[in-house]
Amino acid sequence: MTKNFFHKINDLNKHHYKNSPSYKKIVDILFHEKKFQSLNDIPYLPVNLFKHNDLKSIKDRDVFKILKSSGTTTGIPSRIFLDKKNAKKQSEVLNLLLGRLIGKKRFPMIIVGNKSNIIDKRSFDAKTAAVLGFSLFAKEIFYLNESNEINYEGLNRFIKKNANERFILFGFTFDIYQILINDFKLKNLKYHLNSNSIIIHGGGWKKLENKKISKKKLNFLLSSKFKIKNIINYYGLIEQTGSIFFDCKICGSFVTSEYSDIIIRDNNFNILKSNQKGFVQLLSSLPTSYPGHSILTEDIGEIVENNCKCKKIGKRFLIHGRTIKSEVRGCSDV
Amino acid sequence: MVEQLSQKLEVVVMFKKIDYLIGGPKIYNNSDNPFSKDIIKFLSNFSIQLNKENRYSKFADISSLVFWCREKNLIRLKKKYNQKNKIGLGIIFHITPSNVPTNFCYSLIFGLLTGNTNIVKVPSQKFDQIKIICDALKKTMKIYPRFNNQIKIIRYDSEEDQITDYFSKRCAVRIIWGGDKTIQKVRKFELKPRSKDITFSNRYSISLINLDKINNPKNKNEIKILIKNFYNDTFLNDQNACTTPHLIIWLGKRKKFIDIFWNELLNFVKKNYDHQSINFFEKYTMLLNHILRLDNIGKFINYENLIYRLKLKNINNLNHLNIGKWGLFFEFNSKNLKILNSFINENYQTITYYGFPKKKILDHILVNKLSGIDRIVPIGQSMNMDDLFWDGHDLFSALTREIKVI
Repeated sequence: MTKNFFHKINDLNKHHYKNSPSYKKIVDILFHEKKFQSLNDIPYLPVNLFKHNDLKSIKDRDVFKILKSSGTTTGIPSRIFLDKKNAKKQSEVLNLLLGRLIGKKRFPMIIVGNKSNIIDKRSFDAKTAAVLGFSLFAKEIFYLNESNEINYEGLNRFIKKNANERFILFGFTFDIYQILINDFKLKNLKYHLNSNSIIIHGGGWKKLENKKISKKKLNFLLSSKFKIKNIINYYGLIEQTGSIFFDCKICGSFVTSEYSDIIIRDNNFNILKSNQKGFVQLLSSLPTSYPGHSILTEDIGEIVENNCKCKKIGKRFLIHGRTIKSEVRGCSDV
Repeated sequence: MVEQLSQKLEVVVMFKKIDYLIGGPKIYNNSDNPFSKDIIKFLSNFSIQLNKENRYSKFADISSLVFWCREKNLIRLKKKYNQKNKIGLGIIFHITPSNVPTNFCYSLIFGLLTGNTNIVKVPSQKFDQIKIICDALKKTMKIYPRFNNQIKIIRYDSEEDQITDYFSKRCAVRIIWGGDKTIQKVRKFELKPRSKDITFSNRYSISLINLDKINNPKNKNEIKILIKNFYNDTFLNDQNACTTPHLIIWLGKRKKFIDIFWNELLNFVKKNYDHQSINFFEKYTMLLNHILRLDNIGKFINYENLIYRLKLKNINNLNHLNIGKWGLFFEFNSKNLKILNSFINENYQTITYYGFPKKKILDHILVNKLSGIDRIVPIGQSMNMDDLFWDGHDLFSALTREIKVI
């Protein structure tokens, strides 16, 4: 599998080298001495590069959709250029990967968050992409109101209308905790949510770590309150929307698919072994319209080895949050 | 009545958002003669207190402040300036930079030496140095209470426009220690008609190294001193200071020395630099942004991610976008100083040099009437403050007024 994946990535790398002058410039200056013999040799672009530069491997007239994720601290959005073909491919693969977990049927979906919040706010944690992607699974969508509160009357109507169906509850990890665990009043619910329903969440654990809420604890709280056991955590980049990572229900690690791979690098960008923490580099065989096939993130992660069943599926890894912002030495801004 | 009351209430609410490290809400307006005997006594005592607070010289930047503020240096400064018929302007509102822990104190001292009352906004980040300096100031103020009304040190969120507006309306001079964005933002708040701003905008600096004047490349000592000095100008402040060089111009024929220089620097950095993971990531992002934006990058050489060298093919389109951080340097080989004419503009501040008579560089700038460069200093002394002349501003004249008697 790995060999196959390398050839795909290598071909993709050649494709971007040929079709994206910006990518070619970077490779020529930084990676000119490299012979691309394995996945480890493939160049990697830092995730923030998509904020300040229009990187694309297609002609302007072929741009079909621009995915924007507003930046985290700087507020500058990444811009991902999709042509029709690539947009289709990315959502097909997202569907396929999610479908493996939840089946192919479409469900009534409850977005745990409000519409504008989810579409506009921070994200290269795949917020926008996730909503866009996951909503393909929705038969009908229920959102929270503008101030992130639950309109119980509306929710009751929504549940009644879709009685006996499995629901998907989708939201960002912190919102799921804040809204479903802290705010949600079960007594206001006239109808039960089917216990076969599925909760899907992603976006990082930083805020919950501060509250000492682990994944285990969150899952416990959710299943005790709503009797829902099927809880899925995802991780991904808007730059690689399709090749998303879901966690293994048993060991909790994220798992790569046939469309993705992961490499961990140290400060010197040398490759680290399993169980060593470093910068996360993510590879995806999907991006064709923009050079996003190999991206270095500022997330810190590690590849894990264990005997869980998921080892048959792919490489397993944990994410330990983003590299801590350092204090600035020198003089400039107030 | 109701309106008045609500205005009053607003001011009370506003004061609650200010953290007074030294002094309180009441604003005084005392002017004094510059370099008065009392202020020199006060500051030299402060230097002694500060030295005690800075146990085992833990903070190098505080040690330099202690050294700068010692009595001998203050008297030397006093002799440099003519104080006849001069008096401080009144209230100085200092908006100091978020990332140099000791800068606020220099700014305060400039204000005190020139006989002014000072309101100093310190960075929101709680640097240890700020606490140490304030502790030493408080101790000194107990001995010399005469200056209690002339020193106010405050901390508040830069987004609190109301507070910035409040102090801006009351000061004679507002000193804004950059960068450009802060200056733009603060300038929206009007001053009194006769008041003025002193601004420190984003500036860039370069190094000139004469390869032919390095006596013996095998003389390790000479290289070692040069490396250490260069490191102090650059890595010590992560190349954030306006005095730090981003571009190195090599002159002369002994090009062999260039590689020796970078290798030696790498060894020094490995031993001494406090690495932070995020900086490796951000430096890489910065590198790629430069590569995409610039058309004159020739070769890139990476020293274990600690030093990035970007060799420029030409220097024609060099502008101030070419900045490095955390050990990212542009470099160019040139035959002579004429190269400066092609890119130096008002955004360039300091030339640090090695192997030149300083007069040669000065004459070149004067003869060619270059629009930039305010300082020419040896490598290793880029941050030195020899007097109250800083970044092209003569702070002594700017913070005092002279009474003309005819």
